[in-house]
Amino acid sequence: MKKLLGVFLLLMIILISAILIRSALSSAPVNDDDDYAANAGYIRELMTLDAAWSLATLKAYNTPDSNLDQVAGFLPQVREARINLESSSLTAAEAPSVLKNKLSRYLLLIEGKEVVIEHFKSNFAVIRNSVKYLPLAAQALTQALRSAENVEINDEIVDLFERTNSFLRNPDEGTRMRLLIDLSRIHENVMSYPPDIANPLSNFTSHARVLVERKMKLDDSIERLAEQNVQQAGEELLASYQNYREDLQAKQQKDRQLTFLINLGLLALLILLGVLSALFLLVTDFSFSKRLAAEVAAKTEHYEKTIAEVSSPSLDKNLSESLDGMGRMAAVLAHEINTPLGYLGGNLQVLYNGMGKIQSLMGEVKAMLEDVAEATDLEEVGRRIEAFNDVALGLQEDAMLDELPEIAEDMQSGIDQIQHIIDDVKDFTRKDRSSSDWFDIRQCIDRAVKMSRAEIPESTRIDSELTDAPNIFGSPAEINQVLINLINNAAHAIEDAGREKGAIRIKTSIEKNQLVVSVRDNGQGFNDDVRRRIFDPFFTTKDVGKGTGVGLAIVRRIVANHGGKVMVKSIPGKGSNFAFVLPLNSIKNKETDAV
Amino acid sequence: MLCIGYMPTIHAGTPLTNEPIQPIPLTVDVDSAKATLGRELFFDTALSADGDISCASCHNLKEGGADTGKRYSIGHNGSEGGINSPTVYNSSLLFRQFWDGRAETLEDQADQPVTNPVEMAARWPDVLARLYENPSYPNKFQQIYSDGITRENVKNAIAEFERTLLATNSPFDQYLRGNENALTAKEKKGYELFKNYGCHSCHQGVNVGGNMFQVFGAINNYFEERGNITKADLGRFNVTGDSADKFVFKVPSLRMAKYTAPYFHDGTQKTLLDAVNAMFRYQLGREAPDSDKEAIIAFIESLAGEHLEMKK
Repeated sequence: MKKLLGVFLLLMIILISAILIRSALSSAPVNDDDDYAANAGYIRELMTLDAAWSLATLKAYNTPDSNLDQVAGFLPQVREARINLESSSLTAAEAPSVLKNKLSRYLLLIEGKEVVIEHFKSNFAVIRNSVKYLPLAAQALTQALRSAENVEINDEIVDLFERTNSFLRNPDEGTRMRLLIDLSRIHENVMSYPPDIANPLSNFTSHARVLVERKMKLDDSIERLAEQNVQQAGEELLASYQNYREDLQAKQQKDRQLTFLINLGLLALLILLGVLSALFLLVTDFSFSKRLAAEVAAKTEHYEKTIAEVSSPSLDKNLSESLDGMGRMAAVLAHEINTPLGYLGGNLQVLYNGMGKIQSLMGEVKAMLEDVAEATDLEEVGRRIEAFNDVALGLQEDAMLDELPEIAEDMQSGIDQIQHIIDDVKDFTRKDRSSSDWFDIRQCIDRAVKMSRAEIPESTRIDSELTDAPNIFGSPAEINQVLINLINNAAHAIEDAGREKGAIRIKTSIEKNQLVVSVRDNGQGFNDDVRRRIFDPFFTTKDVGKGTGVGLAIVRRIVANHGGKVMVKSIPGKGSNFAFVLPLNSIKNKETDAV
Repeated sequence: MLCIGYMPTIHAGTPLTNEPIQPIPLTVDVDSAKATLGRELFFDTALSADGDISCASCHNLKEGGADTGKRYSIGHNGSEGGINSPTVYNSSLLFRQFWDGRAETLEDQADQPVTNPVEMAARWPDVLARLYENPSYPNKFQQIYSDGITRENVKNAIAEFERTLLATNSPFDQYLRGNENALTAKEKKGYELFKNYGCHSCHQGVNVGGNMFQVFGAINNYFEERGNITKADLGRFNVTGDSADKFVFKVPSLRMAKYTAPYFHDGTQKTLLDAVNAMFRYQLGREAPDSDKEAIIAFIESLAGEHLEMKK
C-alpha cells in the first residue's frame, strides 16, 4: 500500500514539474514585447526627426535672415536615433535579412539626407548673398561704364543681368551653359580694362557666375528634401517589421495552443492521480489533498486566463501606430487646415441646429395658411397665429437669425484661410512660375492691387475702372509683376511728392484690337530727360538702397515678351501715367503655339 | 545644471530675439564631477607620447582657447601641425568638430590629437597605463565610471569639461539680451554693416559661425591666389571624397576671434583686418571702405565672452 502511494506521489511530482517547466518554457520566448516596442519606437523617432528636419530646412529657406542653428541642431538628435537603431536587436545576427536590408537602406538614405542638407545650407548662404548683391554690382558696373563712356559692353551687361535674373526664376540647363560661357568670356578679359572698370566688372561676373552655378544645385537639394523617399523607406521598414512580428506572434500562438493542450492532458492525469492518492490517504493526510486542490484551482485559473488571452489577442495597437509614420508634412498641413475647418464645422452645427427651428416655423406657417384658407373657425385661426407667433418669437429670442451674417462671414473667412494655405502650397510647389495660360486681366489687376496694398499708405486711394475684356494668353504671374511694379512706382512717386491724399487709378480699355492697361498717379511726375531714360536698367531716381532701377526695365521686357509695349506720359509736379498695351489679335497665334 | 562664467547683468531692455545671432546660453547641463576630472586630463601631459604636451598646450584657456600667435602648433618632437589650432571655447556649440568637420562629437574630437603623430603622438594603451600609474586617477575614475579608466571615459571626461567652456556675457550678448548700452555706437554700426554686407549668411547663429560648411573662395579663388596647395587645404574633401567638397570648411565661429590671431585654417592672416579684407575679397566678392571694416572689427571683438578659466 505504502509503496503504491509512494509511486503515486513520485508520479505527481514529476507531472507537476513537467507542467511548471512547460509553462515556464512556453511563456519565455513570447516576452519580446519590450524589445519590439523599443525598436519600433526608434524607427518612429528617426522618421519624426527626418520629417521635422525637412520642415525646418524648408522653413529656413522661406524665412529672410533665418539662421541655420535649428537645422544644424537636428544633427545630434539624428545621430542618437541612428545609433539606437544601429545597436538595436534589428541588426542582430538572428534578425531576418529582409528586415536588416530595409534598415540599412533607410539608414543610408538618412545619411544621404544629411549630405543634401549640408549642401543646401552652403548653397543657400551663398545664393542669398549674391542675389542681394548682384543688382548693386550691376548698378556699380554700369555707372563705372557710363562715366568711362564705355557703352560697348554696357548692353551686354544689361543683357547678362536680365538673363541671369530670368534664369533664377526659370533655371534650365541650356541657359545655364550659355550664361556660364558668356560670363567666363567676359571674366577672362577683365584685366584688359582699367581698374575702375575691371573691379566692378569682376565683381559682377563673379556673382552672376556663382548664382548660375549654384542655383540648380540649390533647387535640386530642395527638391530632394521635398521627396518622400526617405519617409517611405522608414514606413516600409516599420511595416515589414510589423509583418515579421505578426508572423512571429502567430507562430508563437500556435506553439502556445499546443503547449496548452499538452498541459491540459498532464493536468487531467494529475487530477486523476490526485484523486487516487486521496483515496489512499483519505484520513491520514487530508491537508495534503486540500493544498493540491488549491494548487489545481490556481493552475486552472492561470490557464483560463491564458485561453482568454489566446482567443482574444489584444487588438494590435501597433496597427494604429504605423499610421502616424505617414507623411508628417501632411500632418502639419492638416493641422493648419484643421483650425479653419474647426470653426467652419462649428458654425455649420449652429446653422444645423437653427434649421430645425426654421423648419418648424415653416410648418406652422403652412398650417396657419391652410387654416386661414378654410377659415371656418376664427378661434382656431387665432390659436394657429398664436402658435406661429410662439415659434417665431422663440426663433427671435434665439438670436440665431441676427447671427446669420456673422456666421456666414466666419465661414467665408475659414474658407479663405484654407484657400490661402492651398495657394501657399501651390506657390511652393509650382516649378514654373511664368507658365502661360489664358487669364482674365481683371482678376490679375485685383490681385496685384491686393498684393501691393499692404505696403501702400492708407492715405493713398487705389481705384480701378475695368472694362469687359476677353481673356488674354500669357503669364499671369509676369503680368502680375508688371502691375505690382507700376503700382509701387506710382506709390513711391506719390510719397516723394509728399501728397496728403494720393490717388492711383487703374484703367483698362480696348482700342484698335489692343488691350490697354494704364496706371495713373498724382505723384511728383518727371521731365522729358528722365522720361527718355526711365526704362534703362539701373536708372533710378530713388535713393541708393531704395530701388535698384530695374523695375521698369523688367516691366518693359515682360510686356515686350507678350508682344506689347509700354507708354508713359508725365507732367512734373502733377503726376504720371504708365500704360501698356497687349495685342488682342495675337491671341490666335499664341493659342496655336500653346497647343 | 551648472552655472558657468558670470552672472548676466540684469537690465530692463527688451531682448532682441529676431536677430540672426543669438546669445550664448548662461547655463549648461553637465556632470560637474566628470567636468572636474576632465579639466585635470585637459591639462595633463600624460596624454602625449613624451609626456610634454597636454590639450592645454595648443588650446591656451587663458588666451582665447587657441594657440594664440602661432600659425600652426608645435607637437611631438617639435613637429609642426598642418592646420591652425581653433579655440576650444564654445566648441560644444559647433555643429561638428575640426575644420573639416570629421568629428561629430567632442568625444570623437578628443580622441584624435592623442594619437596624431604631429600632435601628441601617443598610443591609447600607453596613455591608459600612465593614467593607471597616477596616484589619484584610478580612484577618481572609479567613482564616476563603473568600468574605471578606459579610452571612452577619458574622452567623455575631457568632452564634459569642454562643454563647460562657454564664454558668456559678451558685450554683444548683453546687447542682445536688452542692454542697449552694452555696445558702443561703432560696434552697433559694425553689426549693421556685418548684416548688410551679408557676413551673417555664414557667420550666424549662437556661435556666429560653426553651423555649416562653406567653400573657401565662394566668389573669388583663394587657393589659386595663395598658391602651394596642401592636403589640409582640401578640407571636407578629405572626409567625403566628394569633389564638390574640395576647399570646403566648417565656417569658423567668430566668437573668440578677438583673441585668436592668426586666422583661417592656414593661419595666414595675422590680424583681424587682414582676415576681414580676405573675407571681402574671396567670400563676399566686393569692396568696402576701411571705416566699414573697422566698425565690423569692433563688432567682432564685442562677440568675445568671459570665462573663469581666462582669469585663472
